[in-house]
Amino acid sequence: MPLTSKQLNDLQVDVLREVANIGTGHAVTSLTMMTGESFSMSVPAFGVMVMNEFESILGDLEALAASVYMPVEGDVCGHVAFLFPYDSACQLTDLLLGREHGTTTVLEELECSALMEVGNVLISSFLNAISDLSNLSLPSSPPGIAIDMAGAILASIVTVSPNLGDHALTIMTRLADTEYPVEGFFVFIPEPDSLEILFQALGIES
Amino acid sequence: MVGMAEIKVSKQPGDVLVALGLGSCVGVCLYDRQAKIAGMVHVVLPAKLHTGEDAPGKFANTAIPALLDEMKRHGATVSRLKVAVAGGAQLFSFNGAGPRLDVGQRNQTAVLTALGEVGLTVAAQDLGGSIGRTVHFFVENGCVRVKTIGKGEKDLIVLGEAETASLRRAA
Repeated sequence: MPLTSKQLNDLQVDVLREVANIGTGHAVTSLTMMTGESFSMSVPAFGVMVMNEFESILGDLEALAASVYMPVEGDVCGHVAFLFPYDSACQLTDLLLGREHGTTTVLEELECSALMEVGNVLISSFLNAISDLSNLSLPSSPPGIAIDMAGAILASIVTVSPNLGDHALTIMTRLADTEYPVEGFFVFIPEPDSLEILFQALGIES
Repeated sequence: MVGMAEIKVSKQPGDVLVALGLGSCVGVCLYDRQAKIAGMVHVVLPAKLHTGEDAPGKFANTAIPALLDEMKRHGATVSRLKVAVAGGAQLFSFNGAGPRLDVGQRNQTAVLTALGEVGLTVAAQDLGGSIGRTVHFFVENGCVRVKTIGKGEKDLIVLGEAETASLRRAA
């Protein structure tokens, strides 16, 4: 019987929170190295979210956003995405491409390519950290990018897997530039079967 | 609000049924013009693959019959129902072959098949592509309004209008 989010105990929730923190921490380090900016991270919405509760995290499901998504298929399977509000994605592009702040207002092919690259690096850092921690493989597949309504993007990720129930365990962490208003959300959705594998590898009884 | 896998039926003229941010999901709108009953389901996936308790509205093959039952329970007559569908997009683009992300396409097919199985034909559809959609469905006149980031808001069809009127609109 695969674990569902409802059956997680406090210890398991703490462990997952720590895993997400460590993963996000590594991603933040990579981002700082790529942009020269310092970023802060927080965990505004962690846990177990019913699909219909995304709105409370994102504020506006129809807000324009950019997202880089990578499926994970290894010892642990799941879905990782990095979601930026559109304005943040533009400002991040300025940082990445060495443009003057406020230059980028539209995301076209070059900008998308830069975002895809940074998303790839961030997600890989995140997964590598979890891999080091657990000794499990979490290889990612090539990234995809979407620019659309935030709600539609998240819904598309959740629905990639037929195994995810209505209570898909979703771990979201937020990072924000300490100087510019650049923020983004990490979304990590492990497949239900993979949660057990992850807990076992970390020495937690399920 | 019609959230993922939810079914909502209303006959309050002031009500608007809303499915926000449909990506690969499909919003199915049924309307009984005479009784002014509107029903919507927010279909998430084509068909059930795993065992577990899921809302009937989640899968196309269970969602359509469940919506139909709910419409009947509210007093709708099946022969009078008109249908509009929207959604089923693929938002993410990949360099090279995309992995298993054709959920939108499969949802479209599954929804249209399930509608066919219960004898309903689609009067208007706005499916596929790579854009997310928000659907507003007005109980008062059966108007189905689709909002996208690129094209703004557009009326797809007014299901409450007579056939000729909606045909003229489409032409």
